Amino acid sequence: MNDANTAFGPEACAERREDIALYAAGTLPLAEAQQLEAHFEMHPACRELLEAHRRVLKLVHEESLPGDAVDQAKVLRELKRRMAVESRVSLVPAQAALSRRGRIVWFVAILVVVLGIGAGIAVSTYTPPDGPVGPEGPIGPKPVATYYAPSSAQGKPVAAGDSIEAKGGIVRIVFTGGAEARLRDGSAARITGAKDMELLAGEAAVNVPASRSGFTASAGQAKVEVPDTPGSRFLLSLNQDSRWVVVAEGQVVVRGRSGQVIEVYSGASVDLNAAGDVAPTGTVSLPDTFAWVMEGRAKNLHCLMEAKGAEQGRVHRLVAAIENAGEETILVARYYPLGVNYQLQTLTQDQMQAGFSRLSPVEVRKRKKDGSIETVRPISGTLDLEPGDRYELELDASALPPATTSAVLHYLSFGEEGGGWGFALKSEPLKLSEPAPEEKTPPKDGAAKTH
Amino acid sequence: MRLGPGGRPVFDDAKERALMARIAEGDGRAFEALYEIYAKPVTNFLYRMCYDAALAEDCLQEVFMRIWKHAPTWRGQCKVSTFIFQVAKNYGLNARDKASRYRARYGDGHRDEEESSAAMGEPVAETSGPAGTAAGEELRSLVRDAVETLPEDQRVVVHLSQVQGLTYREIAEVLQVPTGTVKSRMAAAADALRRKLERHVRP
Repeated sequence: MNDANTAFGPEACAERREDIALYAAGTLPLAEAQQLEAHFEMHPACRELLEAHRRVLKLVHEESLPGDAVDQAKVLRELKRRMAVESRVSLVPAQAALSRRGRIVWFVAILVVVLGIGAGIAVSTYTPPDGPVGPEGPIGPKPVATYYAPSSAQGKPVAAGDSIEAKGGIVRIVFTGGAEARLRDGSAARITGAKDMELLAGEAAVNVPASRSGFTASAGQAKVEVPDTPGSRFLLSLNQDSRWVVVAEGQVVVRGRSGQVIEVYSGASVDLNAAGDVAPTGTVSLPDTFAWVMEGRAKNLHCLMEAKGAEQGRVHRLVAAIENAGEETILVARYYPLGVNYQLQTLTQDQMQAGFSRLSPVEVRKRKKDGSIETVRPISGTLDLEPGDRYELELDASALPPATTSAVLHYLSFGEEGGGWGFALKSEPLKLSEPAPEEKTPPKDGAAKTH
Repeated sequence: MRLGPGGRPVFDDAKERALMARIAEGDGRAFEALYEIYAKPVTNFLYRMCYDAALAEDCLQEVFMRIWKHAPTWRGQCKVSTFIFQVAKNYGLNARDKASRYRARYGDGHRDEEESSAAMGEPVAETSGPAGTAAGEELRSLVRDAVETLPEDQRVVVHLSQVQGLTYREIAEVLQVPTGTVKSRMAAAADALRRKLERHVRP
């Protein structure tokens, strides 16, 4: 440290500098403070250093901060609205107010991709079927009960070993380890720990947030483990005629009775038979699978995807969009443009090397019905989609693997890290670009080109 | 909210624990009461992490949403103020990183991120000029720059100690670091601030 250019540095005792700073900050332990006070009596330079510290820290304390400028009432109103729809508990007045506004609330939203060929802009649309409106109106299915498991000091705890049965609706289980499970009506599960559960019958949708890995869900003799991923959401089924796990987001590891281990990624599923054997079953329809979780939340949502422009025969920009095709405002709750989750399946020419990609958004915007574009903030909040508005997420398609010829958007959600529930759809796979013209003379043996 | 010596807030832990217990049971009024106490301190804390007032306001909402959601599983092992600043710290860091990535990618109209120029210019005669005076504004700007250019771990400690009035032990709990680390960060920050600002605040 060089204090040669300061008025107090060179004279103050070097070994006391740290204590003097802490003393000025007001938190040096009493005994040490008393010792230092005695020291100040004999060392005026140290006292001057103390006074300099005090003057500066006083300025820091007085620095104008924006706390007073924030519209706290407005933030509180928004909080109340979200508290009502996020349903940890019901706040009747807030919920009533929400209903009066006639808004549809979304935890998540989905997109379906249609990708164009060549330089033109191809547009296709997908409108999810109208799901039945949940018992509480357009918000969607709300749990009939919520349990906190296990050994929560507050709330409604259930102990390890307790069984929970969902009767009359979905039951929500919040694990102190950070995960959350929803039991479908008629299902049953046993709590085995803060990060463990056993599905006894029926279906459970499990959401394990990022950094909360280690969760295990047992089903019969198979186990589903969540490794360290940026959030995993999966659905586990243990019905007599269907035993499987389907992953909506992230990845899980499925372990069979005889030691088989299968890694399962978004959009894929694994069969679990009664004997405890496990086997991959390929991709599945996420919308169908998760329909009961997201029931009633797809109304009036009009989804589309555009491919914008092309260079050298390849589409270079994708625009995923949600359009409000209804007559009411759609509110996308817990909206994080940069935390958006989506799974884009890419297919190579031989259609055998399918894989999931995540492309960073290059632009996020809201396009109003009148054509104007509203700046979209880079951080949390809510997104009101008036009828005719659409929310767009522009993706750089040039980052796709070169051999990619088709793409499908499987899943996209808006939600806080680890929070919310994904709404999953799957588009029809469409060609991304025409195969490059064959310039070479085909081999005489006619062998197919591979990648 | 009560204010203690130097205008620092004084948090009443017993009262706030009672509020948390009610919030855990879904009491919206208790939530409002807790919000009333902490909205401003949390906003200021978040601002010190990201230096973006709009972002701080956004984060404020998310922090309280988390408090609402996590209240039933909060075990009361620390003071309520510690718990709330822990949530704010975790969320603020996450939000700041996202905002930084966004700015790096797209740029925006935020203030320059140049190094502080606290050493520039001549001393400002007053320690705090009257509101609205050029000298006062200049000094405030210098202070803001000096604090902003501190390493983040030091800046957070300075804020929790000097603005929020938390003890070193409480700060250590919020940041989940040893108290010795808090002290060394505080001492380093105080020294850096003094070197940057003392010429402007000589008596």
